[in-house]
Amino acid sequence: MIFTTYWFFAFTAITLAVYWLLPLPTLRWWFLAVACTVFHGHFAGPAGMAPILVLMVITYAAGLSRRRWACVAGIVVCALTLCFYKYALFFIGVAIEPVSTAYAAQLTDATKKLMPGAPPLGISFFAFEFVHYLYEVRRGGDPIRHPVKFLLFSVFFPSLVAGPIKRYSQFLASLETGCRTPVAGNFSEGMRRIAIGFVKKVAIADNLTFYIDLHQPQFAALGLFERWVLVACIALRILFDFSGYTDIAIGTAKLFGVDLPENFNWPYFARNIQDFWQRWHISLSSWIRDYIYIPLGGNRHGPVRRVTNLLIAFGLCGLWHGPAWNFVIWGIYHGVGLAICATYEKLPAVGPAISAIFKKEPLVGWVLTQLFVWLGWLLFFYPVAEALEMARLLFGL
Amino acid sequence: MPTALHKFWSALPAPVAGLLAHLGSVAIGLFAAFVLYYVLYRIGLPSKPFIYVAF
Amino acid sequence: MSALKTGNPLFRPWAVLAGGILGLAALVWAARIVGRIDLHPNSVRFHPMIAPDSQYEPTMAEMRAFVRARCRPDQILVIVGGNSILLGVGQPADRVWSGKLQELLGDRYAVVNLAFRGSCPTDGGALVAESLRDEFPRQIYLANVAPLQAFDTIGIETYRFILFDAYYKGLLVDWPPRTGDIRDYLADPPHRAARRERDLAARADAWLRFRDFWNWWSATKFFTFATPYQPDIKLAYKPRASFRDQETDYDTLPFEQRFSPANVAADTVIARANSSAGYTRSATGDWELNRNHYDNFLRLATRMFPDPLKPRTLILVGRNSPFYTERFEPELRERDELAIRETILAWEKIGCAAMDFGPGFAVADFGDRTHLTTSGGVKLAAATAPHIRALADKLGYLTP
Repeated sequence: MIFTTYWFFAFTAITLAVYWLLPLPTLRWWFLAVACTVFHGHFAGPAGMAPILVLMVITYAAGLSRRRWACVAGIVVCALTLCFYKYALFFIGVAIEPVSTAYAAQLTDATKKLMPGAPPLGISFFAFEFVHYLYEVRRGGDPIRHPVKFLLFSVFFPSLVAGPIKRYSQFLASLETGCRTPVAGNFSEGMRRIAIGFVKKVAIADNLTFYIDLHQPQFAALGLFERWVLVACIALRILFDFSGYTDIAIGTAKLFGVDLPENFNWPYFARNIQDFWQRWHISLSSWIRDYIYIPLGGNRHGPVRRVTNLLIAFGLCGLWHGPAWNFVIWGIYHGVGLAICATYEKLPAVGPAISAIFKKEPLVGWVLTQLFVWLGWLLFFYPVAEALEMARLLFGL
Repeated sequence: MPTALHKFWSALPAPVAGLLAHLGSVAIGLFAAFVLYYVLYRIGLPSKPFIYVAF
Repeated sequence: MSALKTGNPLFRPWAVLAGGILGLAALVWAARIVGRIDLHPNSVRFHPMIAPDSQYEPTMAEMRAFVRARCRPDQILVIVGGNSILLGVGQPADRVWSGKLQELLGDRYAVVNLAFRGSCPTDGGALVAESLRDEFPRQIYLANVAPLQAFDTIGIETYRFILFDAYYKGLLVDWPPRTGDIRDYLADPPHRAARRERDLAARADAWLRFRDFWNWWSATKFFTFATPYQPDIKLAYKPRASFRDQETDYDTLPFEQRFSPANVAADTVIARANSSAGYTRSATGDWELNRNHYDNFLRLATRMFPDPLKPRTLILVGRNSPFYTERFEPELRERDELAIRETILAWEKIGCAAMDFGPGFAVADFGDRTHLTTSGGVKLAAATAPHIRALADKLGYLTP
C-alpha cells in the first residue's frame, strides 16, 4: 500500500507543486511538515498517530534537554512502546502461556483492549529513528531545536512507513540544502528512481509473487529444478519488492530536494555474509551495527564475545521484522553466518586453507553466500517446520 | 560511466555528444512516463502490498 | 548511484522532463485512439476471462466500441444488462439466449449482451446504453430482477468501476438520485479511504485514459499482469484475446443428480422464500401485500433509472426452476404468481415496460435454481421478442 494508491500520487503532485511555489525555504518546511502530518493521518488514522505523536514529543523534549538520563529514558520508552505494540502478544505467548494458560488468556485480553486493531503504522521505523536520535544526542550530538524540523525528521512522508531509516544530521543537512531552490536534476533523477522502483514492484515482484503463490503450496510435488527455481523467485521477489519500495521512497524525496540513504547495493553479488549485510537493507544493518552490536562490545572483547554479540544483534534484527519465531531464527541464522564468516580464518590449519580457496576462486564464496542467503529466505517467509521441510526437499533428501 | 564508454564519449565531436545525451535523456523520460502510465492502471486493480510495509 | 552525482554527461535533466511530458501526452493520445477499437471481435458477451471475474475491468470506451461494432446506426439497439441469468451462464457462446433473440428479431434489431455475473440492472449494460442514448436513440434496454426486487442507483460494488468511469467522463444524464447516492457512497465514514481511491482513479482516468490503453494492450498484445483463475497456467502470460468463452452446457445428468442433497435443500429454502417478504397471510387465508416492503421496493425501483430512460427499459421478472416450485404447496405458488403480477404492474406504473419469464418453463429448461439451459434460453428469447417488438412499436422506432 501507500505508494500504490492514487491518493499517494495525488498527494505527492499537489504537495510538490505547492512546496516549490512557496517563495521561502522556511515556508516550504512549514508546509511540508503540515503535509507530512496529513499524510500520516490519512494512512495511520488517529489511533495510529496518537502513540507516534506521544513518542515524538518525548523524544523531542528528551533531546532538547541534552541530559543523558533523559535520553536514556527516551530510548527506553521508545523500545518499550515498540515492544508493547508489536511484541506484547508474542511475549505473552512465549513467556506466560507455558506457565499459566489462564493468566496468559487474561493478559492477552487486557492487552488487546489497550491496543488498536493493528500496531501503529511504521512503528518499527519510528522507534529506530528516535532511538538513533536520542543515542546520538546522548553521545554529544546537537539536538534538533526547531520543532518543525524535528517533525519533518519524524514524519517525512517518503520514508514514513518502511524507511530507509534516516540519520537526523544527514537528513537535516540535505533538507536545508535541497529546499532552497528547485533543481531540474533532482526532478529528473527522482522521476527515474520512482519509475525504476515501480518497475521492480509491479512488473517483476508482483509477477514473481503470482508464480510463488501458485507453486509453493505444491512444493513437494515439484521437480528438483523447479524447487530451486521457486527459491530463486522467492529471493528475487523480496529484493525487487523492497528495493523497489526504497527506490520510490528515495525518488520521491529527491523531488523535494532531499537525499535519503541508500538501502541496497547489488546484494546478490555479495561474496560473503558480511559483504551481504553491507549491501542489503543497509540503513537497518548499519543501525543494528551502531546501536546494538557496537554498544554490546562489538568485536572488541575477543572472539567469544564477538560471536555472542553477533547472535544477539541479529536475533534482534530478526525479531524486528515481526513477532514470530521464524523471524528470530532467520536473524540468528544470519548471526551464525556472520560469526562463521568473522572467525573461520582463525581455525587452525583448515581456516587459512579455506580462505585461500575463496581468494583464488571468488565464485566459490559467491555461490556459498548466495546459497546461505537464499535458503535463509525460506525461514523468513515460512513457519520454521515448513521452511526446514522445503530446505530438505531442495537437496532431494 | 565505464572507462571504455568514457573514452568513446570523449572522442565524439561535442555537437554529436550533446545530441546523443539529449536523445538518451528524452528516452529516460519516455520510459518514466510509460511506467507511470502503467502504474496508474495497475494500482486500480487488486495488487500485492509491499512486503516491508507490514514490518 | 545517481548519474547527477557522478557527473554523467549522458543525463540532461530538462530533456528527461521533456521526455516524460511528451511520453505521457503520446500515451493519452494513443489511448483515445485505441479506445475506439472493438477489443473482443470474437466474443458474444463479456465472459469471465474478459470480466472482473478474472480481474479484467472493461472500460466504458471498450464496451461502447463493442456495441458500435455490433449495431449499425439504422438498427434498433437492444442492450441486455442484468446478471448471470441474462449473461447466459450454462449456455455456450454459440447457443446463448441473446443470440437466439437476435435471430428472432431479425436484422432490424441488434442485440448486444452486456450482462455480468452477480450484476444488477443499474450496472454496466444500463450505463453503456445510457451513454449511447444520442448515438443510438432507438434503443431498448433489458435487465432481469426477482419479484419485488429493486436495486440502488449505483449498482453492485464489483461493478461500480463502470459507474465511476461513466460518471467522470460525463457520459450519463443528470439524475439527482444517482448523484446523491454517489455522494453518500463516497462519504460513508468506514469506507471513505477505499472509496476515495476509486473516486481518484476514475477522475485520473477521465483525463489520462490509462485503462483504455492498458485494456487494449492486455486484450490484444501482451499480458499486463499474470491472469488469475486462468484455465491453463500457460495462458496466464497471454493476451486476454487468447481466452475463449468457455461456458458449457449444464450437465446432462437429471436435475436432482447435478447437486448434492445439501445444495438442493439450501436452494429449496431460498426458492420458498422467493416472495415471502412481500406478503402476509390474512385471517381469511388470502395473501396480503406487505405495504412497507412494497413501498420500499417501489421507492428504490422509481429511482433506479433516469426518468427519460424509463420508457425504453424492459424489465424481465425471473422465476425459479419448476424443480422447486412444483413441489410447493398451492398457496405458495399462488403467492409467487401474485408477486410476479404485482412486480410487473409496479414497473409499468414507474414508466418501464415489464414482462414475466413466463410459466412455460420445464425442469429441463433450468440448469440450477435460476439459470437457464440452452433450451430455457430459447424459450426466454421466444417470450421476450414480442415484448421488444411491441415496445419498439410503442416508442415509434418502427416508423421510418
